Amino acid sequence: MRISTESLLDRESKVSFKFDGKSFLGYSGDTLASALLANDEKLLGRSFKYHRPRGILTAGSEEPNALVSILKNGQLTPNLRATEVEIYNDLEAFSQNRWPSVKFDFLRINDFFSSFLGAGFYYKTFMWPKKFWEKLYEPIIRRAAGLGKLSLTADKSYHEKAFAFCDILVIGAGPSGILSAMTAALSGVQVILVDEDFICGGRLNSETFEVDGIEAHQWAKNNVSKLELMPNVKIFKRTTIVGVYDGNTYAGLQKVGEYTKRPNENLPDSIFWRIVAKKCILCAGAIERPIAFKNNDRPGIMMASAVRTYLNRFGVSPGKKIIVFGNNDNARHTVFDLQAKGVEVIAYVDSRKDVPEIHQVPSFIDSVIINTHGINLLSGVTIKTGEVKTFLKCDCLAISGGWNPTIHLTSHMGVKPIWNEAISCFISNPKAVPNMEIAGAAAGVFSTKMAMKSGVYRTRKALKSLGVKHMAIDIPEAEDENYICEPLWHIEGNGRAWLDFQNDVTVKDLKQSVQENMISIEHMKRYTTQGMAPDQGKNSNVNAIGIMSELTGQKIAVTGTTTFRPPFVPVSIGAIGAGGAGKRFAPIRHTTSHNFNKENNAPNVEAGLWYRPNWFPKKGEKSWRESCDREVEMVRSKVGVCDVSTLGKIDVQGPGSSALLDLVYSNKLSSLKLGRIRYGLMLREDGHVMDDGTCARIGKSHYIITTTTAAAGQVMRHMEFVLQVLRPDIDSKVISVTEHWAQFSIAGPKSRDLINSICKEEISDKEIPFMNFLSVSINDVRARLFRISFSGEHAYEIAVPASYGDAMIRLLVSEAKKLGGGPYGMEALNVLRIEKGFITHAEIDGRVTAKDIGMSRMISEDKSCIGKVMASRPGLNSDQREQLVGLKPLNEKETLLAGAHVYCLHQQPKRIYDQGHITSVCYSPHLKSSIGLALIKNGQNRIGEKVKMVDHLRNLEVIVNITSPVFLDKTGSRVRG
Amino acid sequence: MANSFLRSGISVDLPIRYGDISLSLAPTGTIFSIMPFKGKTRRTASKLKNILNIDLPQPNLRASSGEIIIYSVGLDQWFITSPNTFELFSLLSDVAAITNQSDGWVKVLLTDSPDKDVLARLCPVQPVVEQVVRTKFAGMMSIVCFTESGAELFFMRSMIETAINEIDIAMKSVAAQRASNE
Repeated sequence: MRISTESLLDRESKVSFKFDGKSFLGYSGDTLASALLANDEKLLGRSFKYHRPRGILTAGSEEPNALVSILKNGQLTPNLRATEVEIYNDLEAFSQNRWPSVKFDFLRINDFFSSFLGAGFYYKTFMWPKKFWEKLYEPIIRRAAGLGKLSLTADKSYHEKAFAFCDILVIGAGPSGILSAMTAALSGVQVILVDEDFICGGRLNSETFEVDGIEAHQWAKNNVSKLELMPNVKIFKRTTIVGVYDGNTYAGLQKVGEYTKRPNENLPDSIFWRIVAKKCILCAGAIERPIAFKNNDRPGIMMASAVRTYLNRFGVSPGKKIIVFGNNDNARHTVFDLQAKGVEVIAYVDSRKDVPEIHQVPSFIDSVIINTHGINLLSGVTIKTGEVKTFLKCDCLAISGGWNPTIHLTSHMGVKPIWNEAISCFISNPKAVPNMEIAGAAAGVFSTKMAMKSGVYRTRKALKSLGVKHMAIDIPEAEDENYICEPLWHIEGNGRAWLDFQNDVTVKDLKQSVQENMISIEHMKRYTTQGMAPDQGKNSNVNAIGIMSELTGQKIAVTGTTTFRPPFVPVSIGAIGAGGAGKRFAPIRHTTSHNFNKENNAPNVEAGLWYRPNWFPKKGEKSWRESCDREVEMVRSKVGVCDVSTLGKIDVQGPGSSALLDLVYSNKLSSLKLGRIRYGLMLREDGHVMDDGTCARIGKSHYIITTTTAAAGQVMRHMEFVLQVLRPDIDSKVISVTEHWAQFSIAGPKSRDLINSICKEEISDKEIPFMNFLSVSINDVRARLFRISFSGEHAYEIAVPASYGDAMIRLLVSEAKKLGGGPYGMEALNVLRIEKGFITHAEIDGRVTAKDIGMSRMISEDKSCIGKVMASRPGLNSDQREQLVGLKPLNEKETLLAGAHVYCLHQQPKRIYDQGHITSVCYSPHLKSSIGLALIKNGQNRIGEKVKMVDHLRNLEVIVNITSPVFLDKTGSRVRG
Repeated sequence: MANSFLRSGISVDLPIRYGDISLSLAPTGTIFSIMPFKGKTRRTASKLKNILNIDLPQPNLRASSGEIIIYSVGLDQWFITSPNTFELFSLLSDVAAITNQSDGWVKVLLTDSPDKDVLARLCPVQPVVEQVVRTKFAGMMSIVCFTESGAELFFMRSMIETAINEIDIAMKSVAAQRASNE
């Protein structure tokens, strides 16, 4: 119920929202949880396994129960914590894991069979028949258990990634965090202050005490305002640091558009930050822990600190008749706050012996709560004092079992926390994360004044290690009570007492785990699923460890902890992959002929990042095959033009260039004469083929090498590695010029005519024989002309500066058309090269040697090269290795399929009889048959043998002949003609 | 025959502007790479000083003289840009490997918010004014020179459309976030 006392809400700004289809009103500044409580809606969902009614337990990101789905822009986002969802007009929220409604859930029946559904029952019950598991048991269990449902539509959310850098990152803007940030900021360093809440201040916004003579929340507001005005400070609200990584890197999830109704389409839902901080001060505060007792999970049972938050910050009383139960002074403060706000406190129950009663409140000292009552909501509790049991009616029970420092982030690098007996909680190992200091409640310092002092002290320490002189800062006067807490993990008794609310794990499950000898904390976790839910056991892990300690008789320090893993709060996959959805997955590279290709309706094919024209359809052509066949015929009979700019082009200069090329290529290139071109093969250090290409000597110590499109980056990286690491003595410089030059292939018997029609110089075999280079002019533009061929035809490649690329393709095609030719695309290029047995990375797939592809003679005997020694290993020279061959079906009407495997005719098409696989296939218009290249065991000695191609996926079997990989012009007469 | 054989510019839709954040195409004229041969860095620097009155900057920095700018772009590697065409090969080819990169790179100017919010969404490097870095930028290789007002950005010609699209998305997001905070 809403109370009329002061709060941090904007009471002038009403907000209308819906929960499970019913309309409610709240105020700006409300969370969904506070607004629903204000409207007396306490039943918000059903539990994971038993479908028990569940309400709000906390007021923060640790909330295990109040998980809701939000419908926005037609998309349902599940499992959001109502305690963190800010309300906005027309917000639509839904409860989860219930059918047909949250008030009447059919699967509540699970709860009545809970005796059969304890920890480990899956493993014991659904053993037989074995095949029923996947088809029957698992689908039913998954349907019955779980949290929210996905909408199963394409994700429409828009997330952004961003990078930030600072000297000091302060995590948490509570009392210690604010003073930490202030200390750092006044000292002049760059500061980032992050807080998961939408108002900075942490507990200061929830408490009624004063700081430096003013209300705590006002003190926080004043100081955060000062920080906001400082140029060296960035404050990221609504930002949760979810992970800590090497190199002082922190992952942070910032909610941006998630909390608004229909954001500007350019406003991201969230930003996934990578923050690199020289130093970090962890001021993440602490999480109040519950106490386990019978039926402690009913809606209406809430952490005492959460009750104070709803009361003081949101102006909401979670009940009309409240009982407070605890083992520390937080419970007492909660009673005082409730009294101050005029809320009826039915009873104060404290498990400690030596605490005073509270004036005007029935006080049960040295007492505990042993049971709660109610159907869907809490209606009363049973208190036990000695042997006396007292039943009291109430609609809210505030509980406090003490504080657990929020040290999850300190465990992300694998260092486990340490048990501190004095304050009965785990604290972080100070060396858990390099360059991280821990302050305030996160360090186990629970009084406000001491937390502030700790924030300042830890920041000074960090500044000192940065070599920065800190500015003196006064510690404000604030609450400074000693924290005394007697551990109280659970109340013994019959019935189920909940530990992990999110995963429905009870004390009974832990007992069973111990009975079955799962006494290691890690075994217990896996057996019971304690702490495995999305909340990672924030509310329950320490209690579970305490109970395990009691059950096993080991001390807590010996019992140890499980591992807190990132992310600290759930992060959507969309946020982690921000900026990589759809076409933004990778950059798109366009050649300079892209506009020409578009104008000519050429469909694109992706070649790495490049978009290349696949074929150029002509009017009347009904299929890609028609266009492709025509283009192949055109090249073989006339002339074709193809943009080959995507091939890597590396400029190699310097007196040591010949030595470098001899080292990286298997064949000798130092003997290459000026103006000549040589085909080259590069090996990896392990002796396998890395890439192939050409090398042209265009100056005394100046070469241009080409690489395949696929390996352009790899070869460049390899050459830089060789020069920087393997042979830094070689005086040679390499740089990519791929982007500067637009390069075109002109192939076909009329290619020379085409070249002569555009170049100033007269070109003949004498000026530029096969495998030669010439510098030519087109108008006054200098161009590089290479007499090389990837089609087996008389061909050239001509390179012009890229800004002439568009003009060049248009000029070449225009001139080609006069000769009966035209452009050709990747499909035709592929056919042309397969007919000639030329390799691409379909063949040199990283597993083949020079010998495998019939190029063993390319490894020069006269010199050493990278990979030569390893390539000589017997294992890489065995005849039983798969070797490059051609394949042709016996029946020319049958089709070969790339990726299909090859088997001997008399053997079953099973893996153990595999003879190799087909790497490339095409239809050859010249041979009027499907043909292919394949890697087949001992293939070079099996030419003429009949084998069968079997494609298990596409269910096709074809009898084929093993042939030479060269199907056309075996003597190479065309290329030289 | 070749009357239509003309240079074509980059076909991108620039400038774009959202409030005081903007992106525009910057003419670069010529770009040459300079990679001094072993032991020739000083001589290269001396020649550049004598001929063009410009220093060879230290790693990750740039130097300028008039309209000529030299950027350090890698290990023993610099890019020299000039709005005018000039013949660098004859000046330096005895002491350094020179390549023409003029058509390979496109330079754009980003005027960012004071906190460099747009760059923060694209570039994983801490922006330090006047520093030059060769870095990943929205998944692409780039050369970034951080300036007081934003950055000078060099992208490979083939990826310029993606680069502008990514910067545009970041600019729109930053503008929308600023608007929502107002």
